[in-house]
Amino acid sequence: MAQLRRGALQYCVLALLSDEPRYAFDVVRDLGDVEGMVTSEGTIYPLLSRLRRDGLVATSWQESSAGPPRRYYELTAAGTAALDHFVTQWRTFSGAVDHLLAGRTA
Amino acid sequence: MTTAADVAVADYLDDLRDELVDLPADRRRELVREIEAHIGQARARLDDPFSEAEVRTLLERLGTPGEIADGARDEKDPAPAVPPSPPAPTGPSWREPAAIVLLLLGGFVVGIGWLVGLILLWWSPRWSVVDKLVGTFVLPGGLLSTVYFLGTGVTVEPCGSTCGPSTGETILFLVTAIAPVLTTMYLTFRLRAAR
Repeated sequence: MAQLRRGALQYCVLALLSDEPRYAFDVVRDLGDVEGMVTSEGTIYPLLSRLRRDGLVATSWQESSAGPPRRYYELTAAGTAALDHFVTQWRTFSGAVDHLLAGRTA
Repeated sequence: MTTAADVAVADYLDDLRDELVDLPADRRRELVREIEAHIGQARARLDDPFSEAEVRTLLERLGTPGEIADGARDEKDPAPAVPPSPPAPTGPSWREPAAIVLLLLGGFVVGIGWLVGLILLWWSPRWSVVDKLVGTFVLPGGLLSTVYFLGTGVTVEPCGSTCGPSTGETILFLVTAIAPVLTTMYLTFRLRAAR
């Protein structure tokens, strides 16, 4: 389950960035607020770093009037394509799993 | 003024740096900088940014430095295409000790003991080529060469007015006696170093 969650988590991050560029902090808080998604908010930062190295997101540091500079994240074209592909695959996959598990109470 | 809450944050970031030591320096700096920014933003939203209890709750939500470090190690650059290097070949464990003993003393065992030692030496994957060359040429025959050189030294040198071993003979004897012993120690040392 940890593997499945981890695999899906990166696309949830991409989805949260799909409408507009956002601060890492807001993305992390959004994910942390969803029950069952992440237990330690800090572990999302290494994931964001990997998405940047893979070219799926682009970043820029922005000075802040209060506190240290903040990092801004936005989806790249490759990130958008990866997200679109995953959404299609996931719909099929989750539909199939739901179908096969239908009727189980546990 | 430094508050208990500031100290808690500084300790947390110190622990995180410690946990990330095995990461490349630029990755470590990037991650610490982002976590630091996160803490700054999260504190700004607290009812009391200087409340130690509130700050500690915030850090708990972030996860332990160890958990973040584990996450960072899981996100190493995708290079699973390169299979992990196979464990170092070992082979039978008697081979190397037998080679060392036979190279030193094998010359006395029906003449071919040293050759058997030589084959074992070159068969073993645990010595480098340099080690094997040292084992082969310092000295061929092992201690048998010492006895051989000693014998020829005594017979070839003319016995002059001052009979007995000359300085040259003594040096030759010492060198041929010590060299095989040094080689034995060297090969044993290299074997342990390779473990």
